Parts: sequence; C-alpha cells; structure tokens
Amino acid sequence: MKVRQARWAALAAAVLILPACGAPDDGGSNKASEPFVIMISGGADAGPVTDQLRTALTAARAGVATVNEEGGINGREVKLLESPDNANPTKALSALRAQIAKKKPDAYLVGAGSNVSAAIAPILNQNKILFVNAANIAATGDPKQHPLAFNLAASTQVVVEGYLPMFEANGYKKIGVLHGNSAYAKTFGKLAESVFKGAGYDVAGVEEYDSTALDMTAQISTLRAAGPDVVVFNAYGAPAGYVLKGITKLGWDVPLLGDTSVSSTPLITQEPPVGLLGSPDLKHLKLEVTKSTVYDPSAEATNKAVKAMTSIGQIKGSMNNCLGYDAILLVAAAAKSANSTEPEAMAKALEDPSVTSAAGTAVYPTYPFSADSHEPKLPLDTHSFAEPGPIVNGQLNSPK
Amino acid sequence: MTLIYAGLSLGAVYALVAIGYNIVFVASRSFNFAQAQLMTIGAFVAYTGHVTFGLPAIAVVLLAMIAVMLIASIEERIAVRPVADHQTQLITTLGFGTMLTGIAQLVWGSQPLDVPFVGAKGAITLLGGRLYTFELGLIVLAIVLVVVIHLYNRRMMSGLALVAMSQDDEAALLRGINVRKLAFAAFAVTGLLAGLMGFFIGPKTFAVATLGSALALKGFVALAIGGFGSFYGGLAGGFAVGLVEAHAARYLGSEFSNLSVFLILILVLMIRPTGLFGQLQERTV
Amino acid sequence: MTTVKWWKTLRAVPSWAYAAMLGVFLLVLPALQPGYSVTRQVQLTLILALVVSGLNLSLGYAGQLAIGQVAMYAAGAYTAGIISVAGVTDLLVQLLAAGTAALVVGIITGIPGLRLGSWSLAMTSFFLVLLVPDVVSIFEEHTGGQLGLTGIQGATLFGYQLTPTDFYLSVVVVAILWFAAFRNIIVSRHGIAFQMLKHSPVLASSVGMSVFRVKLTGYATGAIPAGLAGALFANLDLFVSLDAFGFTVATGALAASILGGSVSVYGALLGAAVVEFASSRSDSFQEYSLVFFGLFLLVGGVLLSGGVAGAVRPLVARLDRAAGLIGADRRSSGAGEGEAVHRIDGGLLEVTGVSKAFGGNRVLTGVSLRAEPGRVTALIGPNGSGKTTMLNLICGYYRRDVGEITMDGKPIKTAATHLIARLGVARTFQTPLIPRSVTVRDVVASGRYTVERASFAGAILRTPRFRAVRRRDRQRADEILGLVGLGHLAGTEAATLPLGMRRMLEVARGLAAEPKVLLLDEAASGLDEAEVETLAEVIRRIRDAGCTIILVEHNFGLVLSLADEIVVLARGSVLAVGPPSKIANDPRVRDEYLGTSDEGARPDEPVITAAGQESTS
Repeated sequence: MKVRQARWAALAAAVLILPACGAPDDGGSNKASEPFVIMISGGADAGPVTDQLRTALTAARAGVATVNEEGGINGREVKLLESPDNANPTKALSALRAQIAKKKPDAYLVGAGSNVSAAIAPILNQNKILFVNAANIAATGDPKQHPLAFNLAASTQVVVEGYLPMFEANGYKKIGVLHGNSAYAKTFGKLAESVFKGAGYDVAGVEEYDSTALDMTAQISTLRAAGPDVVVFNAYGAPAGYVLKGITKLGWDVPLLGDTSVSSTPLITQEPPVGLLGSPDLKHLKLEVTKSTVYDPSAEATNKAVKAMTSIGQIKGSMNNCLGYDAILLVAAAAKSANSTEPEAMAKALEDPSVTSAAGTAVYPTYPFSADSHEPKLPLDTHSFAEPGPIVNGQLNSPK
Repeated sequence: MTLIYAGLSLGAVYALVAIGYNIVFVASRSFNFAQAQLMTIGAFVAYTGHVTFGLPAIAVVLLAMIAVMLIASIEERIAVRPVADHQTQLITTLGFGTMLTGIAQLVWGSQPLDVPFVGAKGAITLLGGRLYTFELGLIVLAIVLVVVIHLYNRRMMSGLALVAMSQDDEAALLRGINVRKLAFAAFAVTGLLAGLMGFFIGPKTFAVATLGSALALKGFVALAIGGFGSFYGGLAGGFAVGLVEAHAARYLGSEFSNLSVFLILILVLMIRPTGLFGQLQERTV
Repeated sequence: MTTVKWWKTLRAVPSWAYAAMLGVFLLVLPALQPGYSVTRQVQLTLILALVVSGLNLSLGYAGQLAIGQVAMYAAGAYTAGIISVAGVTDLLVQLLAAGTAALVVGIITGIPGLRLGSWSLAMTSFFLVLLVPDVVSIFEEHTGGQLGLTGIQGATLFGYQLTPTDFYLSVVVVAILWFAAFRNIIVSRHGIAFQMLKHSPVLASSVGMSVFRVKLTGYATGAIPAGLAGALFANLDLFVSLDAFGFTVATGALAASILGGSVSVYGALLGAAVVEFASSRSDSFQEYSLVFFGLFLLVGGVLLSGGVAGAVRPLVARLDRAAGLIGADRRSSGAGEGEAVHRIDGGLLEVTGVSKAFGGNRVLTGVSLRAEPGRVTALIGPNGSGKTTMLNLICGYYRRDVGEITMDGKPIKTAATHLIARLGVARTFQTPLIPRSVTVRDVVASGRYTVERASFAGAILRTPRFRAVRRRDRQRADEILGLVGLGHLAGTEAATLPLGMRRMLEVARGLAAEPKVLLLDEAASGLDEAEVETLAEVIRRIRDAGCTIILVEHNFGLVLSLADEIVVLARGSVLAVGPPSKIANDPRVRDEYLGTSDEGARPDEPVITAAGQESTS
C-alpha cells in the first residue's frame, strides 16, 4: 500500500510542478513608450527541420538586437515574442490566438515552416497584423488576399530560373528533375518542368520521392533510364545524402545541380566527420546558392549581420535560413519611412523599393515588393552556382 | 537487379527491426516499441566510436553493442518490469523510445551524420546490379542473424526455455525456468543485437534522430507479414516490404509505396491471418 | 464514521450525475471569462477525448486492437474542411458528413479485422495512420496536400454565423451528447455484448450473438466520435494540415486511452486532459520537449497501470464495502421458490453417426444419441472420451466429419455457432466464461440477447421499447437469480464470485435464453454439497418445465439421481445407453468408468479453457 501511496504522491507532485514551468509572456501595448512586439513562430524541436527553425530564431534575435541598437522602431524598443510551437500549425495557432486575445502583436514573423504560414495567415489578415513570412506561400504573396503579408524568400520561380544560365553555359539540353514531397518541393518540381520547357529545354523526367523514405534508388533508376544531361534536385537533410549515395552507387557520372535547400544541408556543406565534403559522392555536384552565401569582404550589411548572429548563436545552414534578420530590419525601415507603426502604413512603405533597398538587409540586398505583388521581384542573378565547400557561419569561403 | 538489391537492403533494415521485436515477443509476449530507437542509438554510438574516438572497427562494434545493451537493460528495469500488463507496456516502451529520440537529438543534433563502414565504402557490381558493400553487409547480417537465432533456439536449453515461456508463463515456471531473468536477458540480447545492427544500418541510412520512428512501424509490418514469433517470417516479411516499396516507387510513384505495402499486408493477412510463417492454430475454441 | 456517511451520500448520486455536472460547468465556463488559453485548451481536450472515446469503445470494451482512430479523425476533418470550402458551412451538416466519412473508413478498414486477431489487426489499423499523408497527397487539389487545407469558412448553424463562444459551446454540446450516447451504449446490453466478445468470442456466439456483427458494430461506433472530432477540429482552426494526424497524435491518443483507463467511459476525458496538458506543456521545455513527453508516457504508464479509472475502481469498491453498500454475504441461499421457470417447449435433439478427428486422432466414432424434451440425458465417460467434443459439435464450434444432428427433425447444418444458439441451444462451459466487471444480473440478462431484440439506436436514445426490454431483462434475470439462489448478489461483479457460484450463474444465463435444449458441461464440478443440491433442484425444475437437458457430468451419484437417460462414452464410441438403473448395474460401465477411469484418456483432446482457446489437458 505504501508503494502505491508514494506513487500517487509523486504523480500529484509532478502535476503541481508542471503549470509553473510554462510562464506565458505578455504582449506590449500601443503607447509610444511601450515595446514594439514581433511574434515569431519558434521552438527548439521540429524534428528534421529543427536547425532551420533555430537558425531562423537566431537570425530574428540578431535582427532585433541590431534594430534596438539603432534606437528601436520609431523609438520603441523591439521585443521578440517567441511562440514555442515547434513549427506545428495547430500549436502556432493556439499561441497566436491566445496572444491576440491578450494583446495584439505589432507584427508576426515565420522563419521556417510553410504550413505554419498557411495556418496563421488568415488569422493575421483578419486581425490586421503585419506578416513578414520567410516560409513563402502563394497567399501571402498576393496583396489582394493578404494586403498586410509579405513573402521574403526568393520565389520558387526565381530559384528555378536561376538554373537557366547554368544550362546555357554548359550546353545541357536534356534535364532531369528530382524533388521531395514537401509543399515547397512539389512546387519546385512543377515549376522546374514548366520553366525549363518554356525556355526550350527537353525535360527528360521529373521524379518525386517521399522525404521520409530511406532509399531513392528507384527514382534515380527511372531518371537514369531517361538519360538526361544534368539532374536538378531538391532535398534537405538526410534525403540529400540518400540521393547522392544512390547516384554514386549506380556509377552514374551525371552532373548534379542541387537547389538552395541542398546548400542549406550541413551534411553536404560540412567537412567530415559531420558532413560528406570531399567524398566522391559530391564529385559531380554544384550547388545553387544565394549570393550572400558566398563570403564577400565588401558586403558590409551581410558581414555585419553574420557577426550579429554568430555573437548570439550558431548559423546551422546557409544565409538562406537567416531571412528572419532581414525581416526585422525591413519592418524597422518601413516604420521609419512611414513614420508610423500602423500596419497599413508600414505595408504601404514596404511596397516602395527605395525603402527596402535602404534597409541594410543581409540575405538579399533588396526586396522589391510592389502594390501588385508582395513577393520580392529579385533579379535573375540572385543565385549563383558554386562547388560544394565548407559553409561556416552560413557562408562559403568564410574567414571564420 | 539494382532495384532488387535496393529493396533487399532496405528490407534487411526492416527485418533487423523485426528480429529485435521478435526476441522480446518470444520471451515475454509483449513488444518493445523502443526497438528501432535502440538501433538508432547504436548507429549514433558507432558514429561516435568511429569518428570522434577514431576506434578500429571491431572496437566500434563492441562499443555500440555494449552501450545499447546497457540502455536496453535500463529500459527493461524502468519501463517493462514495473508494469504488469502488455497494453501498458506498449505505452511505457513507446515513452522510452520517445525519450531516446529526444536524447539523441540533444546529444547528436538533428542533422544526419555519416557513419563510416569497415573497409571500402564503394559500390560494387554483383550479378548485373549495383550495390554498396554495406548494403550487402546488411543483407548478409539479417540472414546470418536469423539462421543463428533459429539454430540457437533449436539447440540450446535457454532457447527452448524462451519458446516455452512464450507459450505459457506458468508452465515455464513449473519447469524451473526463471521467467523474469529470461525476460531481462531477452532485452539485454536485443540491446546487444541492436548495437550491432546500428553499426550496419548507419552507413546506409545515416545516423539521424528521426530514423527510429521511420523504422518502427515498417519493422512491425514486416513482422505481421512474416508471422509474429517467427524469425524466418520476420526476414521474409522485411524483404517483402523492402522489395514492394522499391518497386512501387519505381513503377507507380512515391505516394503509392506505402499504399502498396499496406495492400500486400492486407492480402497476406487475409489469406493467412497468422502471417506467412506464423503457426496456424485450429479454430480458437 | 462520518467519512462513511459522506461516502454513502456521494454514492447515492448516480455516477453520470458527476459527468453531467462537469458538462454544465463547461457550458457556463465562458460566463466566467477564463481567457482564451483555457477555452482553447478545453476545446482541444474535448476533441481529443472524442477520438479517445472511440478508441475506448473498440479497444477497451470490444477488445479489438483497432487503433487507427486518428485516420478516421483525419477523414472527418478533411471531409468537413472540403465541404466547407465548397460552401457547406452548417455545423450539423458538417458533423453528419464527417461522421459518415469516418464511419465508412472505419467499416472498410474494419473488414480485415473481422478475420485478423489481435496484433495483426493492431498493425493494419495503425498502418492506416501512415497512409493518411499519401492519400492526402494523391487528392492534393481537394485536400491542399502537404501545405494544408485553407479557405475553410467559419461554421454556421441554421444560417447564423457562430461566434468563437458559440463554437466553444457547440464543441461542449457535441462532447456531452456523444459521451451520453457512449455511456448509454456501455450500460446497455450492447455494451455487455462488447465485453462478452472481448472476454471470449466463444461465449458471445453461445448466446446467439453474431461475432461478425458485434465486431463490425464496434469498429463502426468507434469511428463515429473520431469523425465528429475531425469536423470540430476543422472548424476550430479553419485549417487542416497533416501535422494534426501524424504518428505522434496517434500515439498520444493511444496513451490517453490507456492512461485514462481503456475500459471506462469518462476515462477518455481524463486521459485526453492529461495528454493534451502534457503535450502543451512539453513545448515550454524547449529542446527537452521530446524527452519530457517520453518521460511522461513512461512514468504515467508505470504509475497508472490499468489507467486512472482502473486505479480508482478498487478504491471505490473498498469504500463501498466499508460503507456497507455491498453485501458481504457471499453464501448461496439455496434454490428459491416461485414461478421463475415458465413453461418451456423443449426440442428433440438427435445425433446420428457423428465422427470427429483432430489431425489423425479420432475423438468420436459413429456416435448417436437422442435427447428428449422434459428429460435429462446424461453423457458420461472417462476423461477424454469425447463428451465435451460432442457438446462442441452440437453447438457448432467444431465441424463434424460425418454424421447428422437434428433438432425436432430438422437437420442442423454445420452452421455458424450463433445461428445454432438462436435455434434454441444454450450451454454452460467447463471453465465458466464470465466477462470481467459485469454484474451478476447483467450476466444473466445477457442470455436474453436473442430472446428479445433491442436496437442499437434504441439503446442510445433510450426509447420506450428499449426501456421495456431492459425492464423485462432485469425482471427476468432477478427471477432466475432467485431460482438459483443468487438473488442477493445481483449487483455484485460476477467475475469475483467463487467457482461454484459462477457455474450456477452460467446455468442461470443458459436458462435466461429460454432454450429448447440446455447443455451443461460439468456444471457440478467444484461445487460443495449444498451447492450440488441446489443445482440438482434447479435442473429438475428446468426439466419439469419441459426443457431438453444434456448433462455432461463426472459426479456419478448426481447423474444417477438426476438423469432419465444415460449415454456412456468410451474411447469415442457409445458404450451403453439406458436408464440409470440399467447403467448402474452394467458391468462394462462399472469396469470402464468407475474402475480404471484414466485408461483410454486422450491427453491431446482439445478442451475449452477459460480464455476460450484451444489447449491440451
């Protein structure tokens, strides 16, 4: 009997302790002296995309620190309100709604997780909250649907079009495409097919793999049978490794062009023992990278951002995962230009390219939004191709 | 042929999980839902041994086996022994597995880690198909393990005791078999094997924290197809699942690979409810 | 003493009243302005509780390891979401559509379960959860695929747009209604039927239940709440994505069921609350969240083996005893008087030339016997002479190799067991089959399953007809219990009774079926003298009422005093037939049966054991 009682006591104690652990955070208020609250979908464990999520958080924190150093947003201190949802849409919604019920945040930022964006976009729209979204979805790029939402990442269209000069330069005619089954990967696959065809290339095959699968031999065999000159592929995490291993296994010497998510995968961009750099699997691989991912001593804004980020955390991935930094700077620039922290005024200011290009952003030098499109119209040379190399602090050729 | 090898090597991974389930099932009529996670830990330990400590292969294998055996023993003590009924064991072992995943993420991070393999890591051509040496190693390991376990069960006293126990706890007790000790031994042995398996699986799948949940259910399906309690069945089931997955992905598309496995599972079970190699009982009356 | 009084008052209130109080509390909760987090937590908990209750119904009560509830939850959510995008926003229509979709998924996926046993069924049903993402991707244009389904309109009711508070109330009302229905099912004969099936399919079919139908009903009704939960979930967030139906959610639901107590109605609520709370809390543990959730499952499982409900029940029983609410008197009170046994039209059962072999082992060879109405026909013989096999052949548990069995001249084909039971063949078992946590009265009443039908819907809605049938069930059960001397134990948990009483209880259950033929398999073994006397008295009365009785018995004295006709089996054949006086003096019988009783026994003849499984004796 004693044992049983002790067990119950332990359980009761555990239950009593639990509520104490989650201290909810209060939002600010609208008074000029009160902080400007930016809510961000965060957490520390999102399974395979944990590093993306955490890097995005680090980037946002660095952005906040940078803005606050320069006097905050129109004199108001910026406060980052982290919602511990681990990129789970239901939990992100719970946290957002709870926060709105208490006090509306001034802006919302999604650093990673497009289904979080899809889930919360309508709520943000309904409550007229500025939404800076690094996990693009179609709805948040369309001001007719969501006038206060902005996509930050290069659109899939830009990513895909980035390949065309590469095909041209190397004389590739027949293209094979291999992509995963996440929302982004599917769009990538579809757009790759239509854009390449539209540009006059022969798309020999488009294959999809399940991102939880452990072996891609089947898809690779199919592609090989189609005999492309080059294979364009999308993958993040372990699947990137499975694809490369599968191709090496078949003894297939086809040139490989990985997309920006491949270049964000530490497995591909780290020296052994952590990664595969230097292994024969990577012999034919070239990576599509955002220009800021290649270290450039003269890129002041980028270097400043990297310094800010590395001083408070690690960048596990490439600069592509650091859009959160730019998000904060963009909001600050918009508020300054509009001389207001009203969401409509800030959104209007963001549509002015002169405002965004002067914001001091790190990942892309500018975010050309317009009144018709809230997807940045990035130039064709936004991306370049690089040999796989060690990415340190989010950059290739980093001086460390 | 290459596709068949791919299916077989993947199937071998499932079969290895199934073997782990089976040992505990035969010994105690319950399931260890943390089995796949134990293997994942094995792969991580192999990585640490190889890469961080730079140990020779044989030492790495021993290290992985002993480390995972210890973890499995702890599991038996805290998650299995204190719980009497099998239904609740399902939850406690699941909980233990979840903890292992969490701990692996904390220790080794959430990115995949490349586990080296003994000797050459290159691909070879065999009977007109291409496969990696470690894939061949996986297939051979699965087959050898099953044969060894089967022979052991046939020949050795404690093997017989295991089987006796699964038939009837009380009868085993009457024959002077220490049921508890044996159940503990079964966990220790699965741990030992999981460490060994991790060493072989790592090079194929990478060591990644989420590997456990990807393997857990497929291992079960392999077992269900082959028949609960049958080691040959688990092997056949694993190969079947791997082959079906690979071929469905090749010829139907990736979203049909799980569906095809499900269809095969249903089909096999509708024809033989006890699985391919399961013992067929006359009507339960 | 005051605690006892206090407990008595508490217990005087029916247990559903507490649940009703909770329901009322949740309904008035918004008036207390608890804040958004609380109401949201309540809604998520209730939605999970609906899913879990479906699991409790099929897993806990019906004992079917059908644990794919999350797939049906997904079916409900996507159905509701898709029709909402198409413009159908009325919550009632949504619930109906989602419930139907889940029902269809539940039935289709339950079909393999009709053939599969325990773990295989668990696998196939759990695999369904794995298929959800694939199916959703295949129908991407309707479901939104990986990105999730957006564009769901706010729910309406008869044209009125529901405010968040209205919707909260709708969730609470749906949960209350379902739990009321669930409770009504469980306390009705259908709930008892589930538990009989769980305990032993053999038992269920012996009282005329179609195992097939009861199983299918179990899957189907277990699917409905999951579908309702799906509809509510889709309308709660106006967004449906795959994250809500993953492996973690499935294991969370399973954990909630087991932690709350699978064999309980309100345990689902408790388990869901605990799991929902732990999972929302675990996020604040940052990178330790997985470790925390795993630890929670582990510790919760160890502490609450058998679930919260399982832990509370013994406590309740103890307090009940202390308060004197349960009679401590466990003695049988002897055969009662009265008109308990109505006139029974017995049936003439004839067995002609029946043989049966297991493998190469002949158990019965060319056996014939004839049991007449109003007479006790005893079947005796050494262990393993084939007596029980004979009973099992009559009941249809085995297929006979050759021979014919007729009832009133009409041949009994080797039909399904439950159909034979419905022809009027009732039986008891060598090891009594009494499901756990069912009262003595309900065990007896379960014999009346086919005597009077009561529909499932009737049980949920408590229709007048259902009430009438239930009243007669109870009345009849009490009469019969009085007859067999167990009247004072009607409210006790039957499985806790001593062996003798459980045997008597089986006779009572058999009698409740108003059978034409009653088969008693060693009904007197393990009974004390007084109990044997009561049993003999009861058997005589049943015989005198006109029933045909076949008695398999070892107690030779009892057989001689009771039987009108004795059939002696030895080594699978009939050795002698005749009235007791003749058999008692038959030298061969004395030699064979009373002398060397063990010779000729066949140790490998299957017998019915408690679990209803074949084993060797």
